[in-house]
Amino acid sequence: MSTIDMKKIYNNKSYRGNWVALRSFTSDPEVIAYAKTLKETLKKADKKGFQHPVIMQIPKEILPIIGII
Amino acid sequence: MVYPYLEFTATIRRPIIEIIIKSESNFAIYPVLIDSGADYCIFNIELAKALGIKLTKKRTNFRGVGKDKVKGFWGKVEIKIGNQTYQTKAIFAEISQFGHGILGQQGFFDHFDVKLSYQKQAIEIEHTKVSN
Repeated sequence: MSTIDMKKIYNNKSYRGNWVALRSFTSDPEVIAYAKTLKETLKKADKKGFQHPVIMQIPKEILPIIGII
Repeated sequence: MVYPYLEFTATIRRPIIEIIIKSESNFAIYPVLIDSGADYCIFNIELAKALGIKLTKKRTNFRGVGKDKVKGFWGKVEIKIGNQTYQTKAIFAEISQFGHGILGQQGFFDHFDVKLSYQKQAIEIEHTKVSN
């Protein structure tokens, strides 16, 4: 099964530490808006006609997880 | 329901699915990690603020493999996964070091059977909860 490739988004320094709104959860997801806060991100996405995008926060660092927190 | 894994680096791939989290007046589509080691579901606290989810005033502590306890607040939400919708309690906390929420035993594994295949990069989820 093809993975959903987040590498481009996670490697983009503009998105690090920010919330991003994605058009959809597909194999090559596209960012339609991003901002420091979730509310601001949703507002920007809404202005572009996307009321309910997929939302996620991009961590400042990409580190392996070996258990939560 | 079958979902693909998410790929973050050449070596980091995680079983993450998109779910819908609903409050009384709004909803959001949010990616969440399937984590059998988590006791509860944990979502970003900014989500509660954006959706207007009421949280408990009293804080709750939880712990991962790290030394420090993390503080969060309980909130009631409706979760939709595939065509299944149900209400559950979840912890909302500052988890900005993750890009996603966490689905744990209470609120997810008590509703679904899960099969993870790293070889196939596939996540199979079957609804199993029987209504009382």
